[in-house]
Amino acid sequence: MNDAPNTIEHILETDGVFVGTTTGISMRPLFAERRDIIVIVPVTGRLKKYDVPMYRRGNDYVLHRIIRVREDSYDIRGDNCVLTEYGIKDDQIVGVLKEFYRKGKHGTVNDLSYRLYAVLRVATHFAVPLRFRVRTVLARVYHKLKKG
Amino acid sequence: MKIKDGLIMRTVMGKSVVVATGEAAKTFSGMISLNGTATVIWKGVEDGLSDVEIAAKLTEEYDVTAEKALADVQKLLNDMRQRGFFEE
Repeated sequence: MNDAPNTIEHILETDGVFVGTTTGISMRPLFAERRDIIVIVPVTGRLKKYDVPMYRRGNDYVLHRIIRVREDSYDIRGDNCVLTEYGIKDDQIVGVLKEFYRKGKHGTVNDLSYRLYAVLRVATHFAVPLRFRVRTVLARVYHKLKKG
Repeated sequence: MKIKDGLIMRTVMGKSVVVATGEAAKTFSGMISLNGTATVIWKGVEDGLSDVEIAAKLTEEYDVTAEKALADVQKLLNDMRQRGFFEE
């Protein structure tokens, strides 16, 4: 049994694959915190729209989706995020999502269902802030009803 | 011996890896790569086999004596125990 060192870059270099779970809620509904397993592989060449790279943001690793490919950078956004990150460079990217286990079921980024999800998710991004607002309003209504 | 809830072994691109999910992910981060022997042993523990039974499986798969297999199994199980992989 070999323990992998802590950096994902090192693991990708030596093992050719990194397998782990996600933290946070930024990639919902695709991935839930600590429930699902992601398989990250090294990047070969430029990435494409809808790819999900793992990249460095300071000391953190972030796993979000490419929504636009620019000449020398990417616009990236989590599936559950309102804000977009601009100017993510290739040298910040340590790997890219290739496969996953979602609720215990195996999937790959080449599956038709996944690809449809990715396209729809990006296309309906305008609904994310709307969903937050609706959820907030519903929560307020619920609490008011509960009180009175 | 029971492996802690949330520690999951998967075969990915031909490699066996162990990943922590759920509550276990709060304690364990990253992934653990298993070689062939460790994979057999991990599966044996998952299947509820004793160390002797796991050693027997190793002798079926590898050219190793029963004594050596048992010694390897016990060594790895001890390692796993020390790392907190088992429910206590």
